[in-house]
Amino acid sequence: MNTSSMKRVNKLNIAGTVFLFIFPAALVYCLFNVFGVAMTFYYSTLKWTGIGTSMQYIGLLNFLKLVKDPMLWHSLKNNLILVIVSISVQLPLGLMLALLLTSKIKGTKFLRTIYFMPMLLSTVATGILWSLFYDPNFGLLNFFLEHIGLASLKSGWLGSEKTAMTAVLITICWQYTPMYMILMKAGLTNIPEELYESARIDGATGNKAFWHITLPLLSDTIKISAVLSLVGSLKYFDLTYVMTGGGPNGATELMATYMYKKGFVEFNMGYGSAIAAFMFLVALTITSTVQYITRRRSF
Amino acid sequence: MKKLLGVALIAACILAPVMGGGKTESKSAEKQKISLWHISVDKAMGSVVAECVDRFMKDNPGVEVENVANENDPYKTKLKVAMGSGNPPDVFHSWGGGWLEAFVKEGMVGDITADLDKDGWRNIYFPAYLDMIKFNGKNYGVPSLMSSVLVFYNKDIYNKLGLKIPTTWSEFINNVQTIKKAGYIPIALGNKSKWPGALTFIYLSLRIGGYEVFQNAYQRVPGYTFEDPSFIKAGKIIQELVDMGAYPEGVNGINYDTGGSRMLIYTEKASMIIQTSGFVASVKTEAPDFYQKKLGFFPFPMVEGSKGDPTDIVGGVNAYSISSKTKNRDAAVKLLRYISDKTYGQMMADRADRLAPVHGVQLTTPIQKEMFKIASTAKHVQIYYDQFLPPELGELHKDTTQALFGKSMTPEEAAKKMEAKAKEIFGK
Repeated sequence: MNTSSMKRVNKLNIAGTVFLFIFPAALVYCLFNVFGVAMTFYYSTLKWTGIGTSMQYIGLLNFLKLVKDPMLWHSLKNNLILVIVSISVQLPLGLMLALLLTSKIKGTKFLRTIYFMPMLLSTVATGILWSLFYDPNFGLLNFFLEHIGLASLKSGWLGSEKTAMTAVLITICWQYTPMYMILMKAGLTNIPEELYESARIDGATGNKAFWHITLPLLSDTIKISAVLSLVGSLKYFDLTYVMTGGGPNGATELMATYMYKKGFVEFNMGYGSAIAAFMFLVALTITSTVQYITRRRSF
Repeated sequence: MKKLLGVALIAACILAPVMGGGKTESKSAEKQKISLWHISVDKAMGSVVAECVDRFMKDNPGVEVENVANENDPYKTKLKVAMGSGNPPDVFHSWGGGWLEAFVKEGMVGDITADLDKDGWRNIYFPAYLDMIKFNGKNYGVPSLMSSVLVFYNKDIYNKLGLKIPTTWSEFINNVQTIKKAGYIPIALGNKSKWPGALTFIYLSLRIGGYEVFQNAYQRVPGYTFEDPSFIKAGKIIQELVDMGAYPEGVNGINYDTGGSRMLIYTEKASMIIQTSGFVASVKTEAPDFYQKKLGFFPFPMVEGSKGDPTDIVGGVNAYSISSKTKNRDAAVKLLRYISDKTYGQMMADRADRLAPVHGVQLTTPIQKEMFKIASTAKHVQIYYDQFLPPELGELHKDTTQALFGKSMTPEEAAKKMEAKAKEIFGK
């Protein structure tokens, strides 16, 4: 046997092994994701209640109705607000906390545990906890406001269209900031200490070191965090559903809660699927655009 | 060789549970299994259902019932998903009306007309309530409870302020103002899930316009619409109440299901609540002291100068139906009777003060007797709009009413939206 044919056998072996390892995950992925997405597009061309088997093919009628639906654009707007708030609040806050944790102050272990807590609670528990916090009559927030002499600011936080979205956004930020903190912290520990040492010799410390060393070297982590946050915000559902159910009067309606409402509450699975398909397209377009724009920066 | 062994081991691991599952299935095949989904989560009502199921299993030793209690609002989704995925429960709860009809139209609900005709089964129920679960002349379920919406109040607060039970709307408003001045919240309301506030809206339009207006608007009788002045006036009165400060702060964020508004009553921060008779069962288990000493109720007051019959009530029915896909139809039909018959009705009355529309129940407490009187002398029972209407229109009714409470929509806009959606759905 000559060497080249041995190499070929080896390669085949490796390919086989790779296939063997990927196959189970790929199967699950295809079954639950790819197949699901494809079926969503199929369902979106039907007039179907989602209960029985009577389906009627109606082509793109659901989509024609969709683009004229003011509630869809309203919920898309809410999603975009969520994207902006998530990226501009959770990421910087996460970075700040991560910097705090990697600094040399005492008690970082204790703080790390405390800061990470919100991530450990289940979403429903978080939602109920914060709903109680915001409760207009028995809630901590109004109680607190009253006792520091700001009774005039008391409000029915989740029940008022003006404050509901902000109230939910604060909760979402509270829950997700720790995740970015952990990501950022992992990014920070990857930056070699020598760089800071040589920078110090050149006279770059404190702020300068942060802007010229930490931030550029963290750009990968930040980019990944931003994309995660972006996609997560576009398909967000959980806390809004638990805390307000999309209400009052659609004030906190997101695309996902609206899809749920149409598909599962109003028995209009075809239309609900059309919303889901629309969500998929929006998320895909925005994410790939962002990926494309930031691609050169990646190293 | 080793590799082969590994693969074999993995295969064994994967297949073992499957094969094991097959074995247990064949064992339990001797015993029929049926599932029952209901929403009697509170202790008093839950125990009644559980004991009736036990009674059924004792009489039918070959059948095992899986008894599943569900929270009210999540239940609606859960049943829908189960139906849609082709794995529905054998016996399930509903509220009749348009919601159940959506399932009937898809052929998912079992027709039990012939079963009811046997041995006079049909005659044990009050016919009006049995009819609420009838579509196109066929019975799709049995009624298990009737509910009516009443105004519940705290007797202590009423006595302290020297208030009388109001029979007219202006008397009611006077009471609201007096209560407000005394520093209480006049009416507790948890409107996050939208239906609690809708109850007030339905009552007002029933009192103002009369029973026929809504029925005719729904039937699309020429000359009747959802923009009828009575619907608009009902919305206006609600917003007057909001302006008056009759409701707690942030009503649209308070959740009735998790007890938000009931807590206001129990802690005596609020003095009245407009709720279904299911409220009594909750009070009985959640605040027994309050139930014994302070709980009172009266029918929704009449609105002066309006067309509605003051005896009419807003109410509804809890019903049990069987799935058309059930594999054990006989057992499922039999179970229906155990969870709606006289014994069941008596237990519901005794333990939870809930009335079943079944003949022969002995009423013992004044609360039961008074509720029964109101329910049985009513000329019409208006089913809750959201359960009566097709789901899409029902949801819109709840959404617009919630917006009325939040003052983000005018009564005219709300009515216009309803009429437009009705036109879209019914095609005229």
